[in-house]
Parts: sequence; C-alpha cells; structure tokens
Amino acid sequence: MSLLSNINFDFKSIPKNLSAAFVVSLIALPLGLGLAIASGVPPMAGIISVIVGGIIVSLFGGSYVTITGPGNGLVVVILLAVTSLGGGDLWLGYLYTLAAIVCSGIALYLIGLFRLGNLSDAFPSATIQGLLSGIGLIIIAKQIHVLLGFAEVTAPNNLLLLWESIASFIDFVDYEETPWIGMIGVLSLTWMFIFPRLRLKYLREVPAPMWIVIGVIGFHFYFQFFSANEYPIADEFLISIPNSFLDSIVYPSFSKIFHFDFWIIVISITLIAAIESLLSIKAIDKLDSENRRSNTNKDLKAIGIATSISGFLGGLPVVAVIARSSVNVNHSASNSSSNFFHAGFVLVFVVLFSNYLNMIPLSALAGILVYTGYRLASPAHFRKMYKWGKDQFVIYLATILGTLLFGLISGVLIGILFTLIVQIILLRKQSQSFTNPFRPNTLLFQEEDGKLFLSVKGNATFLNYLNLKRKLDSIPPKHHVILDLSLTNFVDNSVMENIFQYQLDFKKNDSILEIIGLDAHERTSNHPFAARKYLKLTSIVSKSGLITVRQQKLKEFAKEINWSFKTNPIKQIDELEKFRFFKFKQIDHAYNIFKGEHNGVKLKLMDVDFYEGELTTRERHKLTIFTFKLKNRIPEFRLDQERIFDRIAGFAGLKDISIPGHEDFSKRFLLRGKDEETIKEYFSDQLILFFESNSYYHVESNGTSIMVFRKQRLATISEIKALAFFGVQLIERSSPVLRNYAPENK
Amino acid sequence: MHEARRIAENLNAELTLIHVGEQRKEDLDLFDEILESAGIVKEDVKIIWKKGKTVKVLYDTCKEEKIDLLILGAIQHEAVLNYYLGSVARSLSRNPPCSLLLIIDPKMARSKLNSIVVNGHQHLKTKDSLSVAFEFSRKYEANNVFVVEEISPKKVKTKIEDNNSLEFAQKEKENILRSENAKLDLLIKSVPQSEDISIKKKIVFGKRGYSIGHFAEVKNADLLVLNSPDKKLGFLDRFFPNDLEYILSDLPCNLLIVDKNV
Repeated sequence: MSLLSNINFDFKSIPKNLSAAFVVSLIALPLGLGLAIASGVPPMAGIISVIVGGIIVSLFGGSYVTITGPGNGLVVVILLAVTSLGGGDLWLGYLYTLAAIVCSGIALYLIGLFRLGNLSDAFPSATIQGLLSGIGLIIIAKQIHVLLGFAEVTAPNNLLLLWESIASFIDFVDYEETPWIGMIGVLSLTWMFIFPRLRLKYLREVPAPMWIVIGVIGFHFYFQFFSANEYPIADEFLISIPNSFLDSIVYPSFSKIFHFDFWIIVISITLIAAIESLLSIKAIDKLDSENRRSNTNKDLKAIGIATSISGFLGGLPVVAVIARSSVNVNHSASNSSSNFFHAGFVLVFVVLFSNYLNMIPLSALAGILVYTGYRLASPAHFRKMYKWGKDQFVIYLATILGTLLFGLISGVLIGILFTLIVQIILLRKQSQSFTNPFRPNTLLFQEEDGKLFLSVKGNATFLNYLNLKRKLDSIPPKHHVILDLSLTNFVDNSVMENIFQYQLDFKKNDSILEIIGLDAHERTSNHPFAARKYLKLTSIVSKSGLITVRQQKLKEFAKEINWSFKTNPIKQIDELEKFRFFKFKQIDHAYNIFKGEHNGVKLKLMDVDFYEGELTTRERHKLTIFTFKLKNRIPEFRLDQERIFDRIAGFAGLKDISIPGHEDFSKRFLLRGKDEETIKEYFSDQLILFFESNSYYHVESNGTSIMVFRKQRLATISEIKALAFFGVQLIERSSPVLRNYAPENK
Repeated sequence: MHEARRIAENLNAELTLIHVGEQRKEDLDLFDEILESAGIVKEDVKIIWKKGKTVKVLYDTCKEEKIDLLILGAIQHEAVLNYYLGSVARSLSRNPPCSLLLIIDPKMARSKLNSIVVNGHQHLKTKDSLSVAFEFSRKYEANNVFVVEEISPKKVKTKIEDNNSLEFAQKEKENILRSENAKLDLLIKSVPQSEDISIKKKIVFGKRGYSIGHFAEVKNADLLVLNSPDKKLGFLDRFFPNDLEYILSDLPCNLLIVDKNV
C-alpha cells in the first residue's frame, strides 16, 4: 500500500482545502483545549490529539472529508479514568489513563482489521440517542461550576450533580455582585447560543469559539495596557500551557495494566470511540457533495493507530468528529488533505501563540463545552424521540438515566435490555416472537425485468439488521430495488430508520429503493420510523387511520390523475368474485382503493387480499388489480402470457384461441374463452396491436367488466402507475359494439 | 391419502401403505373408512402392518420393499421442543431411506401446480433432482420451474467497503454469475427431456439452504425439490442449522427430497 495514496495531489484542490482547514483549525484549537480540561488532563493533551489525529488519519484513513481529533463523547470516560485510576492523584491517574488510551488504540485497530465496524449498526437507535444525550448531560453537569468559577461541586452521582449544577446556575443569575470569571463564562455560553442566529456575513467567517478566544485575549490586553486595575482573574482560573510544545509531551505509565479497572476503562474508551467515530463517518458521508462512501474499517484502523500514538505522546484518544467535519464540508473541502492541513495550522498556532493562549480563562472554554453538551441533549432530541413513539421514548429515557447513574456501558446495556423488553411486550401475542437472531432472514435476487428484489422474513430487528445491511450495501449504484417486507412479523424502529436512511442514500446514487408490503402492518406511533407489527385481519379495519409511505405516494398519484383514493379496507367486493380467477379463491378484503372515471367508464384500482385453500392449508395472497365496467357486453375471455405448458396441453377444455392473421400474437399470448366466434370478432387488429405493444398483463373479462393485473404480488408505485396507464388505454379500446351482443339481441 | 392416491395415479405408480402400530379392531375399521373416503380400492394397494418405532420401521420397510417415494404429512412449523427432538417426518428427511415427499398442503391433489423450485447446486445428485423436478412439472403441468443455485456470498473475495471495492465486488459477482450460468446450462442440458419445460434459472447470492426456502416462499411455489443430504444430519445441526435444516425448521411448501442412489 502506498502510504500517500490518500493524499490527492490535485493542485487545484489545495487552495479550497487549505481555507477549509484554516476555519476548522479555529474551532479545533479552543475545543481541543476545552475538551482536555473537561477531561481532567492538561490542556495540551487535546492539542496533541488534534495534531496526531489529523496527520495519521488523513494519511492512512479511508474517509474523505472527515475531521479527526478529541471527541466530546470521551470526556466523560477519560474524566472517570483519571479520577478512578489515580486514586485521588490526578497526575498519576493521567499517566495510567494514557496507557489505557494506547491499549484502546490497539483494540480499535483490531476492530478495523477484523471488519467489525459494522457492529455499531447493531445497537438500537433509541439507545444510541440516549447514550449521546446522557453524555451531553454529564458534560453540562461537570462544566457548569467551571463556567461559574465556583469550587468543584461534588455529588454521589451524575444525576444529582446535574441537579446541583443547574440549581447553582439559577442562583448565579440572582447574584448581586457577579465575579468576572462567571461573567465571562455566561457571556461565552450566550455567545455560542446566539451566534448561529446572527446574520452578519463577515462575523460568520470566523467560527464562534474563535471569537470567544479573540474576545478574552482582547479583554486581557485591555487590562494589561489600558486599565489601571489588575487583571481580575486569578492565574488558577486561566489555562496553563508549557512555554515549549515539547514540554507538554508526557509518556504513559503501564504499571496498572494488570488491574481489572484498567481494562474496564480500555473497553469503555474503545466502545465510545468506535461508536462516536462510526456515527460521525456515517453522518459525514451523507454530507459529502461527491457521494463517496468511506471505507469505515480502514478509517477505524487509522483512528486506532492515531489513538495509540496520541496516547504515547500524552494526548487524548482520536475519534472522527461530526461538528468539525460538517464545518469542513461547508467550507467546500474535497479530500482528506484538509484534515492534514488543519492539524498543521493548530500546530503552528500553539508553537507561535502559546503565550496568548495562556490568557484564556477556563470559564470561557467551559461556555463552549456546555454548549456542545447542550447540543447533544437539547430539548429537540427529547421532542424527536417522543415523536418516535412512547415505547422508544421510554427506552431513550432509560438509557439516559442508566448513563447518568451507572456509567456509559451500563447505560447502553440498560438501553438494549429495555429495547428487548419493549419488543417482547409488543410481540407477546405473536407465535413466532423468538426467532433465532443469527438465522439469515433476507433474500436478494434479480427479477426478469432487471429490478432487484429484496425480501425480508420473520422479525426484522436491530439484532439481525446486519443481514439486511450487508445485502443493501452490496447493491451497486443505478439500480431499482424493491424491498418487500410483507413476510415480516415485526420491523423495529432501528430497522425502519436505517431503511429510510438507505432510501436517501440510494436517491443520491441514482438508485431507487421502493418499500412494499407494509400496508398490513400496524404502527406503534405516527412517526415514519415507527415500528411495524403485522396485523391479524380482524384489527386492520379499526386501526387504519395511519398510512404508510406507499399509501402516501398513492394518494399523491390519485390527486394527480383526479381519482379518489381510500385506504380503508372493504370486505364486500362482489364485482371481483364474478371473475373466473377468483372462482376457487376467497377474497378477504380490498384496500388502497382508487376510484375514477375515464370516457364515462367507472374504474377501480385496488390491492386485494385473498385466500386459497382452507384451514391449515390456507394461504394468503395479495394482488394489485385494475378493474372497470364495460359499456357494452363482450364475451368472457382470459388473456395471459403463453407458457410452454399451455402450448402442449389445453387446460380444462378451454384451448388457446388463435386469431387468424395474427400468428405472432397467438404464439405469445394465451387466449381462452368459451364463445370463440365472438372472441375472434372482439379481438380487432387495433386491440391486438395494443396488447402486443405492451408488457404482459393478465386481462380477464367476465362479460360485463374487465380486470387486469401484472404480477402475483402487490405492485410498487411505478408498477401501479404503469397498470393505471395500461388500464386507461384499454378502456378506450375495449368496448366495441359486437354483432352477437348488439342491443337488439339482448 | 387423497393426495397419495392422486400422486400415485399421476405418476403411474403402485401405492404401498405402511401402518406402524398394533392391528386393533378399531384401527382396522378406521383405516378402511379412510381408504374408502380416499377412493382407494383395498385390493389395488399393498398394505403393510408392522410394529415398532415409527421412524425405524418406516426406514427399514422402505429399504426392504425398495420403495421409490415415501409420502408423509408434515406441519409447517414445529414446536420448539419437537423440533429439537425430532418428529417422524423430520427425522426421516434428515436421513432418508428413499426419496421423500413432505406434504404440508394438499395442493398436490390438484392436477396442476403453479411453480416448482429445484436446487441447482454443482453436485452429482443434482441431476437426479432436476430430472425428478422436470418429470413432476410435466405430470402436473407446472407453469414455471425455477432452478435455483445458491452461491455463498463468501465466494466474492472482495469485501465491500467503499465505492471502489463495491465496483470490484460487482464485477467479480458478474463473472461468477456468468460462469455459474454456463455451468447450470450444461447441467440442465445433461438432463434428458428438459427442452419442453419453461425453466427459469436463478442464481442467488445467499446462505445455502436458507435462500432457496425463502425464494420458494416469495414465489409462492407449490413444490420444492432438493438433493438428499450428503451425510446424516445430527443433533448439533439443529442448533447450528445448515442447508436442509433451514428448510425443515420452516417449511415454505411441499418438499420433495430426491435420493436415487440408495
């Protein structure tokens, strides 16, 4: 492997990547310092992580516009590690933690090497959301007192700490004499909140955290040069950075490597780093203007190497970060060189301006951090999860509480446990609730018309989502995929969410992902990502208020062509039962019914559910049928694609009727009916030409109406459109006045 | 019974009924009743009464009488305990004495089948399965015969990780498809009288045994024809299901296991 294969030596792209890198470095610098302080380690640890991460991952990684550096998710783990491993001695704890970081770097490398990166998709969505919000709340809890300039607040657990912190924040607002340090913190936090709403173009050229840095340094200079007063903030509330960059390099101590606690920390770091990185990479790929897919496993390997090196030099773990990466994309970065350059800029800043950085009060950085914590746990997240459904909201809250009370890994485990409980409750009445999650449940094959057909069976949940993901990932661009979920009993939120994400991804790649077979599933809430449960027929009528995406699209289509559309199932469908096709079948109900008129002919298009067989051998089928009433009477007939067997043997005494002068038509189509003479008259040249020039449909007449369908399954949106078009065309050609059935004969 | 008679008639075969258990009076009456309702004339068929363990008796009798096709009723899903301990139908299909037809719905009683799915693995036994499937399709006027070959996704060496590897994997897949398609063509041609049947080839990337079952379910097939297992399937295979076990644990339709060599 060429080491530099990732660097694009396309010189044209360098200027825009450089400028993007510059802007990103303006965020990375204060954030790096802040995250390190919040983690309870020297500020330079964050800077080392930025520099090592940027250089290593840009050279060895597999992503394009992702920025790497210290991540906010890990603050909580590192802080815990430093306090618990050191046993009170923070410096010693720091050295032990560095050793844990080195080890987790190796673990991350192995995850990438064995291609286990996909496993992060096997966590339920609500649990991941809960974990992130929990981390956000912990950051807020730990940073508010720094922001206010108070001495450290202690509480038995993070939940109480959060409570105390918020209480002290409210107290602070009532203070009569506000200390400068707290003022700076509150101002910095306020600035972070209002900055996104400012519309001044030049102001926004520089990111908000950098304005804070510039502001507080300016504040310092004011006291230094213009004011007669002393600088009102004591040194202990300021950042302290060694004068020389090399002084900040510290080497880890491996003497705790045989302790159980040490490995718990290693696992925590690895897990959180992997989840945060993979979530970020996935999210950034969606923003990439060139629609490239990152090689996540290669990226994880690079992140692992970078984490180990960073740990060796005294830095924080390296992860892929979403906020900085999206700024990178917004400033039109095009390849990984911007990640490289941003590390370079940060290095230059700390080497040249370390004196100025020493003027930054901690509370200003705490303001930035509280804001990032707020972003992770903002009320919008709670609202969103509530909309996902009460079941998901419960899982989400349980994960947050678990994270706050018992730590990150326990939080995730509690979330998974709750997800399983919720699913068991939802499925309690279904016979096949507990299928083996390791059993394959997907099938992908190409249909005759080149579309890919992907069918899923049984329970589709986060436990076996990887099966589906692997299939979806293997689909190259520019394909039409039909995802059939009609054989599923249950589809959970995580799978639904991921399917919807795939739909967006496919759209970007000129592919289409159509979902069918969900119309008979009940939703747990009104949200598109809501879990679906297969309904027994009795309940479908009462709960039909909610509609699927397919139904939504059908509704739009109905509006377009001025037909009415109703999703409600109807039990009585007499007109269909008169068709020979349904003679030995029992129609259960029809739903998704279009009604319209064309040339004065009433037509209907609907999904029909019917049975074949009885009792234990009863089999359920679904079909999309177009039917219309004829103006004049015509003979009974059935028209199908002719298959080899039909050619060899006639069936049930009805043999293929050949129309003289149309040998090709007779060869390709199987035309059956009793009144041969009239049928021959009915199939005029024009009608035959029409059938020949269209795809094969099953067309059947019972004398007074005609019904048409294509495939023995529910039609997709595009197939329904084609069917409707075919049907309308057929209406125009299908009602000639025939000699035998002329009005006077009737 | 109905189906057995219909099948025997359709295939012009001699019907042998095997009853395992004691020959009690009420059993005899019931048996006669069933025969009558199924329209079977007692003199036309051979009836064997034996005692012993059902599976063993059936197995031995099939061998002794040189029976070609054993017909058994089965249910689609079995209770968990039953599955792991094994029912008569399942135990026999794991180690069949002869060809075996598991019936879960009496569609076979109809004179016409809609579609038949048959496996197309590159294997010596496949030829037999194909010829049996073709024979059935001719007798039952099946519209479609799907010859399904399952290829393990592991055969595609390239791991899909980004756009480039996706492209490589796709090319590799297409190559495999092309060569397998050619092999399948040869295989089908080697089976006599395959010309007059509408055969559809399907090459599916997926777990062997599982995918064909799922395919049969999607296509609403009426009959699934499979090779007999190469070795006796043991207890452990039920915990780590492979090939046939996937289908046995969740029968998609009637299942015919072809075993000509025994």
